[in-house]
Amino acid sequence: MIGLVTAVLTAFYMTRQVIMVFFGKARWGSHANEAEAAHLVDHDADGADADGSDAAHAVETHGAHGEFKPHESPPIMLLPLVVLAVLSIFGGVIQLPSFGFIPESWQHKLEHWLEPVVEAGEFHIKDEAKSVYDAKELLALVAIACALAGIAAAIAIYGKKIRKPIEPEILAQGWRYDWAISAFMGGPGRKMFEAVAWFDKTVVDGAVNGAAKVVAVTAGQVRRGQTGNVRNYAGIVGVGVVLLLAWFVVGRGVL
Amino acid sequence: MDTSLPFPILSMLIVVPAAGAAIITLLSKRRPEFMKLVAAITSIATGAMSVWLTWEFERADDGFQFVSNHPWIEQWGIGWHLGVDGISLFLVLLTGVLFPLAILGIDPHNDDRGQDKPYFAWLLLLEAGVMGSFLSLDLFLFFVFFEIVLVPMYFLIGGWGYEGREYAATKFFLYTMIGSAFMLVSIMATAFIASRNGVGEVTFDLVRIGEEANFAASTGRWLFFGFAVAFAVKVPVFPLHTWLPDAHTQAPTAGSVVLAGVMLKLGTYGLLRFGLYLFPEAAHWSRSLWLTLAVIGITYGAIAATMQKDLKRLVAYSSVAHLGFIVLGTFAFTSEAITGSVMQMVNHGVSTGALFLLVGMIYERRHTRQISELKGIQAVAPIFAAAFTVVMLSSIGVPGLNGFVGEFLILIGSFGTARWWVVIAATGVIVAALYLLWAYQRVFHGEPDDANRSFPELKLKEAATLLPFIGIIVFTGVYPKPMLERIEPSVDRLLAHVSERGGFDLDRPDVIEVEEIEEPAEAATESGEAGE
Repeated sequence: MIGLVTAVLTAFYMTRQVIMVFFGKARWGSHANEAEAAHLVDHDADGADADGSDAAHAVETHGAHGEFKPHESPPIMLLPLVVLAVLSIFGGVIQLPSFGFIPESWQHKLEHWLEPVVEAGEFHIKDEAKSVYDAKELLALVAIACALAGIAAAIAIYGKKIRKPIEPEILAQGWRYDWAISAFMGGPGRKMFEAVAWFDKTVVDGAVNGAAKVVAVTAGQVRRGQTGNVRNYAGIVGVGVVLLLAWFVVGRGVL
Repeated sequence: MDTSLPFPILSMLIVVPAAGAAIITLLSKRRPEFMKLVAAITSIATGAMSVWLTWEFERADDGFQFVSNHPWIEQWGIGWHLGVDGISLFLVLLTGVLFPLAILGIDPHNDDRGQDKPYFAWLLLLEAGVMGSFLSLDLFLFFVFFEIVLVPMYFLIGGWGYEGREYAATKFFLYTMIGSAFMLVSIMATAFIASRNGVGEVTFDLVRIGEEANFAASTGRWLFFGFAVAFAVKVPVFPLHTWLPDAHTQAPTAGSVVLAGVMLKLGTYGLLRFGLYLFPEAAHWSRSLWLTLAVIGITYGAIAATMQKDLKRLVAYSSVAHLGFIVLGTFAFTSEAITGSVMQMVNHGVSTGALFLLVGMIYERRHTRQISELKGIQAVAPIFAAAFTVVMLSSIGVPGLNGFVGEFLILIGSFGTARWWVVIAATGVIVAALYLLWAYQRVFHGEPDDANRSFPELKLKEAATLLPFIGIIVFTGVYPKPMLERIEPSVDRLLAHVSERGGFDLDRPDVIEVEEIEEPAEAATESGEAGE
């Protein structure tokens, strides 16, 4: 169900984009802002033109040259686009579905390419939901119908202007998703990450250096016993002998 | 054995670099040009042998190949027992390939050419030690090599490192040494207890102990603990990781490349080869602890990496996170996850090794590692930036590059048996993208300031050093099959052994089938032994 809705929406927004960018009245020149254009002139060489999403940008940039007219892309941009366009038409061929009218050997070409890696996680529709798989021709038709519905709706609203488009601000801001993420990562998220780095440096590594420090200090204190002075050693041996004797005589009752 | 070559190739892999180190120490200090020549010849010869070894390796064979087994200290059952299987093969190959690149491609940060002699000698000795550790099938022999590795690394960090090198070298040495002390006790105890429980005589032979010994559950757990401490420090597993950022950051570039590339894998490899193989029951019993520490390592390492101000330290912390994935896969006890872990050991070696190489190049040019002092390098050195991008994306684990294959196998293989750990671990992938891309943005994007405007472009020699890394990164990412089909048989064999000995079902390793193996009888033998 969600798949169907998104299929309609995809067709809708792609058609909207095509209509707004390529059809209708020419809107270039109307946004030309001299100050901004002068600022942007440096970037003109690798300017972001010929792309729907950057249309406003391109207008401003070219505005600095006076008369503006959209032009064809240079070959370095055009050739990859041609390749991609051709591939997008024929790309489906490498994984053709198993419809009756397609030769058997042409079907499912892509399936075995990634086998050693994804083998374990493979899930075969065939085995699990036979009835759904059998209805694949019907599903394909539904998918095509959804796409056509989306295209039709977009033409009706943006091409023929039958209805006024509903475009709330929050959609233009992408559900404020980016804003939420940056607000979190810039504030509490960053503080938390810094706390972890501090913890590693102070607590975890501190324990290691602390252990080393304890050993060093203890050894430094114990070292004082090793004076190299024979009389000291002899004195300690003497005390030990006396203590041992006392233990044997008093404690164990020897004698 | 079908796959025998006319000479003992595994022994040669250890002897050749060791001999190179010996020759260099005998050369006159006044002829520094010979030092590099000898180091280059011996390391390239070793590398060529490791490539040949991989070529001759029988991929369907799941056992040890090219075995050489000679008695060494016979009265204790210690032997020169070497062998290679799918788990160690690519680590040996990585070692063989990495060292010539490190020796030829990276100059020591020391203008005094007289110091070349010890530098190359230590590097070659290090190679011999690492090779020996990966090839040993004898506990005692393994310990010898495992310890040999520390010595050259200590001197490389202490002698050719950066400003805090002495602190870092000492910390590295003491930390890993204390861990190994536990392992030494465990190795001794394992050999002697095994001789009373199934093996029949004192031997340090890994395969014999693994196949014949029957440890009581509690004995096995104590012995496993001894090994595990040493390996956990080496990996490093949280919270035993703090030697790593210091050692990696302060080491000379060649040292960092080798440290990240192969030395950390001694820990994860040891866990598989010795921990899981010898003590399946104990490994399985403690798996929740390992999985938890692994996941903490992944997220914690990644978060700590994000906040580092020093580019090299950032890469070092990223190692903590990546090694966490390998531990996670190891203790998931599924074929895919362990295969992924083995694969990821190699992948991490390549991509993090290359990252350290690139950071080293930045330091050589700018004499700083501080992210805040670097800016806009992309504009002045686009090829350098492109190389950095490929390596960085591989480290993040972008599909099509090698990092993805290992990480994905680990995650998918562990999902069935360690579901919630995997869920948390997957966030580590996202943070990995965060810290690396953010660092890239700060270092490479923007307008270069005066200090960075003259940042030199990649030189031919540097490009030649980087090219093999990038080649491996792309090839493994696009076509991992040659690696996987050699690793997997050995992993399956190990798993079959582990499940049979550990007493749990391979399909449901998260459930322990309680079937205590005549505990009381063995406990009695054990207490009889305590008197010795």
